[in-house]
Amino acid sequence: MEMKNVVSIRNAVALLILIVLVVLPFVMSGYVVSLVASILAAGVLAGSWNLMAGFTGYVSFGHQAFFGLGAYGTAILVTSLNLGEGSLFYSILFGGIVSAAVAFAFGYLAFILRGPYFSILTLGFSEFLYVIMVNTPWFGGAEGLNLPPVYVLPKYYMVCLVLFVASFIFFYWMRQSKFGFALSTIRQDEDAAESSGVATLRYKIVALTVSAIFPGLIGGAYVWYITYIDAVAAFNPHVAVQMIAITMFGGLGTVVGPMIGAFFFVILSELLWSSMPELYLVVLGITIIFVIEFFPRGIVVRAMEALKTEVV
Amino acid sequence: MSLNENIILEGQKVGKNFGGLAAVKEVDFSIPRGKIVALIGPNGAGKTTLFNIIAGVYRPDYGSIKFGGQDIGGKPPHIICKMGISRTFQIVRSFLQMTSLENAMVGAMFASQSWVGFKEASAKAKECLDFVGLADHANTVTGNLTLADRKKVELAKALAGDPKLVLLDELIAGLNPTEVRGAVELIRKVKNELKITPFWVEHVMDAVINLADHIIVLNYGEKIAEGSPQGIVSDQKVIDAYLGEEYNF
Repeated sequence: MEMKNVVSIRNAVALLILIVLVVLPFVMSGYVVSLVASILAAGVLAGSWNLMAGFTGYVSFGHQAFFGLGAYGTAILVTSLNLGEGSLFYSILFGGIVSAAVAFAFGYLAFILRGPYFSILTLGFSEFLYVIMVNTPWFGGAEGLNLPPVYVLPKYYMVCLVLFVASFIFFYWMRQSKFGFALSTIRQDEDAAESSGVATLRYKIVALTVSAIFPGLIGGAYVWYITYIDAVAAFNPHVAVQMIAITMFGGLGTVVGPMIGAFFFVILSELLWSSMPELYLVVLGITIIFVIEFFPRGIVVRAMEALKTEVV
Repeated sequence: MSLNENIILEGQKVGKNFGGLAAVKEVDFSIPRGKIVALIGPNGAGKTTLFNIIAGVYRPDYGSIKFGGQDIGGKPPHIICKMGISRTFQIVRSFLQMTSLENAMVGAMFASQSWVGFKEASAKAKECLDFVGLADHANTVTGNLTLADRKKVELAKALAGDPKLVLLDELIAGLNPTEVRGAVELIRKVKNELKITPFWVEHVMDAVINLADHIIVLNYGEKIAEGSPQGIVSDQKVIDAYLGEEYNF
């Protein structure tokens, strides 16, 4: 197949998927809508983790912190001001801003460290926030915070879809931008990047901040959807593990890898969960091992190579 | 030493300790604009450390470094690079997953003080690859190039940001005789055609004597001699510390 054909087919498929995703909540059952919302949310989360690990070369084991910060930011705003459903969008935005602001400050501290030391710090960072939330009554303590019990699935779905598309466009743009170029040099050789005039600290902090905004917004939307948040759910390491697994599944350092990886991963989880709940995690674990062993660069990258198309 | 229009880089009593070890000890140097100054000395003499101090990788413990009259000691590397000092590394550190062209584009885009977009960077990078003789390999991934070619990529990357001074850390070491001749010619061209002043660490003495206008010799972190190539090769201290008795010029 010619390159041009592959590209136009790919664009057509992308457009088709977008149309399906927009129409879906109007025609499908609540179950399907919530399942697809989970896919979209997981894609955004994995893509954000991939911005640091895949593009910048900084592996975070505590990225659930930014999801949790967004969830708490939104929940605290809503509960302390007694807001209703009308505040949904801007309270979610507030969650994203909280997450980004903390990430910005954390970046100054964290980027003194590199490699595994950075990774361990991110692990501690999330645990630190967990302990703070559990022990602070104003943050709801161990009991967490309750939001107004409203049914917001269609809005939740739409927020996830918008974030999915927005993050896709951002990562796609970034790949061919000066910003993406700078991150790539940092990943390959940070000292050489710095010596070549790349203001590495500034770029890393911006990257971390961006990679915290999207999870923060997802966290804010999620808290409206389940109408409740506590520290266990907000700062659950399982969220980070899922980001990592999905990205490895799809393709580290690619734009579409985490997005398509999320689709396979969430569907697979759902099928396993409903058909063999007792073996769910065992089979999922074996599947991840299998994929990483035989497709170490991810299934999406492998497929793109097979189609002889540019790896995006 | 006074502030002189013709001195591009000047260090006074520059020093750096690692723990109890004086890696660089009260070294004075001045690099005249448009001259090739070579820095030689045995392994561990502090040559690369001095380069790292100039490039901002290490903060000097004492002493001052002035570049074009401005104090640069302790500034971060990316700022020093943007001010006009670029460098190549002894152990080649190109971005191995990028093509030669992209590597040179990094220099063009980020070493410049003004905003440089992709188009402009790509044109500048092509020019520099052409200059170092690597135009044929513009789209080759750097990881697939030979050592000699990777060194050329390093040089192209360093030149692409239009520096005033380029620190060359053993650009020639590890090359075969033919490649050495090419590299020597290249350094000469950097000075004559691009009007960029090279400050050059090297072990290959034939090349140094051929090319350098001025030589500074370090040993155990201290400057033990400096002068013209002819003066240096007959200096007893330099012969004892570095060149050896059997070195014949």
